[in-house]
Amino acid sequence: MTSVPPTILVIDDSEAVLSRITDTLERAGFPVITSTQPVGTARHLVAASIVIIDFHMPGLDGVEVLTSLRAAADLLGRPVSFYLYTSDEDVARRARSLGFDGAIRNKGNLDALLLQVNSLARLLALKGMLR
Amino acid sequence: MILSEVENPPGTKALASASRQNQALGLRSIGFKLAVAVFVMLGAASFVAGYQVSALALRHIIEGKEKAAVMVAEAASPALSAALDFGDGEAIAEQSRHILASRDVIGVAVWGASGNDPLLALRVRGWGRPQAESVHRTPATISVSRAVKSPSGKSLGFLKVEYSLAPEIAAFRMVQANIYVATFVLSVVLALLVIGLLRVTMLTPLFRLLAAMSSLGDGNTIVLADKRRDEIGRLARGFNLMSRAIEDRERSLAVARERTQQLLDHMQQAILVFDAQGHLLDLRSRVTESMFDPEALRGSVAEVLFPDETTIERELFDQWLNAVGIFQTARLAEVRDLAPTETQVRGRDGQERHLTLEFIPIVEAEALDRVMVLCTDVTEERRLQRSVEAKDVEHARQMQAMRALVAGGGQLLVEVLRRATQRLEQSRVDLLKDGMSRADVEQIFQRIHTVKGEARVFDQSELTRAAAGVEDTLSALYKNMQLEVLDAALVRDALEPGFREIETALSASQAMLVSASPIGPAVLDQITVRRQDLDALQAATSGRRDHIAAVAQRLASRPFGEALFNLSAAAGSWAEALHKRVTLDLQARDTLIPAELGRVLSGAITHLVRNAVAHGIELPRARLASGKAAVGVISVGAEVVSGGVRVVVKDDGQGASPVRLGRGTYSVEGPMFEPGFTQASQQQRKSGLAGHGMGLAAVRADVEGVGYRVHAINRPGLGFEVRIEPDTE
Repeated sequence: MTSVPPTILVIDDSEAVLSRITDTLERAGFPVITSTQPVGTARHLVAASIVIIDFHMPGLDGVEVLTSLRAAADLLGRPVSFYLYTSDEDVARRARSLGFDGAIRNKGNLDALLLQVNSLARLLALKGMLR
Repeated sequence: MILSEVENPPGTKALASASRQNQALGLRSIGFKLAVAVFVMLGAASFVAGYQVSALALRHIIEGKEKAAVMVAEAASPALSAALDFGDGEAIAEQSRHILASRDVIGVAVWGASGNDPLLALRVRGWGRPQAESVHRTPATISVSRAVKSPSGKSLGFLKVEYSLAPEIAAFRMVQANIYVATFVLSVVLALLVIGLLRVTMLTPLFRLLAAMSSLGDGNTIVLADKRRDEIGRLARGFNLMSRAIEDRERSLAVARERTQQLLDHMQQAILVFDAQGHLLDLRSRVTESMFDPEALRGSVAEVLFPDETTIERELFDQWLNAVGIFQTARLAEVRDLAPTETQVRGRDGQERHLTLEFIPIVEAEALDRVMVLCTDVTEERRLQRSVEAKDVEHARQMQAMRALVAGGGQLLVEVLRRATQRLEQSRVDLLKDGMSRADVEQIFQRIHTVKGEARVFDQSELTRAAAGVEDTLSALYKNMQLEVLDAALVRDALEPGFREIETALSASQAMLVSASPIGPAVLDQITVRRQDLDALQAATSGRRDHIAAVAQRLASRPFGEALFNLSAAAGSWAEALHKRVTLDLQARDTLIPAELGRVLSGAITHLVRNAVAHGIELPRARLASGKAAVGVISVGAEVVSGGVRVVVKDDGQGASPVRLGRGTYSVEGPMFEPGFTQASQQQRKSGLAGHGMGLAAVRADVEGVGYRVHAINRPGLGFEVRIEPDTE
């Protein structure tokens, strides 16, 4: 791909998981921002094009996070894609109905994560070409 | 023209069909047009000819009549002259009647020498006196006026006779009619003849050519006889050439197609071809039939390759196909690179197959014609990978992962394990309540879920499984909660086995971490300290001998294992280069080495181990001959002694050569530790392994520089031991 890789914001409650994800994605050339807190992440949206949210987060659940982030993204006037991160196939299939743009499956498998993020990056590049 | 067929004669059927086709042309056919043209032209030509001929004939007839009329009038003139001379009316009348009786005479009049009115006028009225001899013609009559003269030439009067042309005209009309009929018939006959001739020489051959062409179009092979030397012959020859060329081309196409199909069939990849709308085309490799469900192959490529519409890959493909359709050739390279690269499908056998994909758009005449996709089944590869990750191998992999983690500090995993333990503890504490609400159950779930997530990310499969087990139990409990509050004892009983499994898994992870760590158990206690802080602390406590100074000293000490990092692998390769077999026994990896010694220890031990490999351990044959095991053992250890630590490097080889050194124990003053001394053979020096004579001396110098000394014990035939101890003198 010759286009600039999109910046990815990852929200998960485990620092360790975030660290490994960051490692994997940064090695593949994606700039990564992370946050364990669902609140206050709106400011991270400034740079990110893709937001990956862990479905099970203590306190707020993923869907509430999504609603507030989407509101913030709308204000930016820039397209931001929100993806659910889960290992549950049923949840993954319901992702759209929950308000997400889709789901990244096989949570825990870093190879699968990289593959899906690569596909996402291509998808965004294509949407950009078609706009 | 003869039609000779090589295969599948079209014969009469095709000819009949061609003929029918021609009849179907009807009024548009060349035959009809030609017939009409011939008929018209011939008809016109013969009409004109006929007319001319008949006109000419008529003229001749009339001229003939004229001559005859003049002759009659002149013949009658002398007879009348006597009558006129004598004024014999009777004779005039008789002569006139005689003239009138002649054929075709319709009127006679006689004038005397003078007077306008005729002396006698038979069947005529109103004639005036002729002024001179004349012949006067009208369309229906000829009037001849002759002067009647006496033999002496005296003008006696005039005779005018009128002849009718009616018979001639009637005759002429009949002749004319005959001529017209004849010309018409002639034209028709000629036309038919021409048409017939045309048909035979041109049209029938053309029909046959048509038949041959349609037969060729149906795939048959036709050869036309081309003996004629005219245009038809040329047409036939041209047709034959074309027919052969088509045949050749079809043959080479068939060969090419077969080769392509063979190529496709030999490929291990499934190849699908689809159009710009995603509809699958018929061209595909044999493997495709076995890889995909044949029913699915009738539909669209998206349904075949990305059956789950909710996946990112499916969305990507749909967008990609859309882009390919829009951009066609314009930004082809860019678009091509954005195609999906992997997918998972369910094969014919119902098994999940993992495929890598390569999309190749095919451009023809500057437009996108179709897209080819190469699907490589990597399921077995991945499965093999996974099966290779069976217990023992997985263990090794995890060890490697551990080492990698540890090399990066190891603290991340240590933290993870510690936090997991904490989370477990917290959950146990929660379970000490009397009743558990939904929220309580959820909270425990969240914690265990996090433990599972982190375990997964660090490849801790046992821990992951244990946590997943507890999650399942919790989910089941949650779903079955009829009341708002659960009995905590019930939950405890349900979860305790799972919790114990988690504990076991945590211990296993910890044990593995310690075993993978070069500094052993010390890794669990490790924290990160900045060197400059440490230096500052040491500087602040230098010279002091109190408790704080001792603590500061220990802080600056490094675990022995750090000096041994990678020694095993290195020793292995040294031994291999010399065809020896050596195993390294590393002990007491967590013994703390004082800072200054730690700085020189790694180099010193490396030297000593290299020496042991090069000079101490014998070749396997020699070892076996002297009753030792084929594999030599070099042990490296450290223990705390008063004043510091004692580091020992010991081998069970042949010891230092007794010839040069004599038996017994040698202290550091021994010649071995002098610079320049070397036991290295030529070969060893060549292999770069053994000394240039500086090695052991360098060890001594380094060690002495930090307040330690080197002490060697030689046991010829049994081994060699080097001790590094605090210099207590």
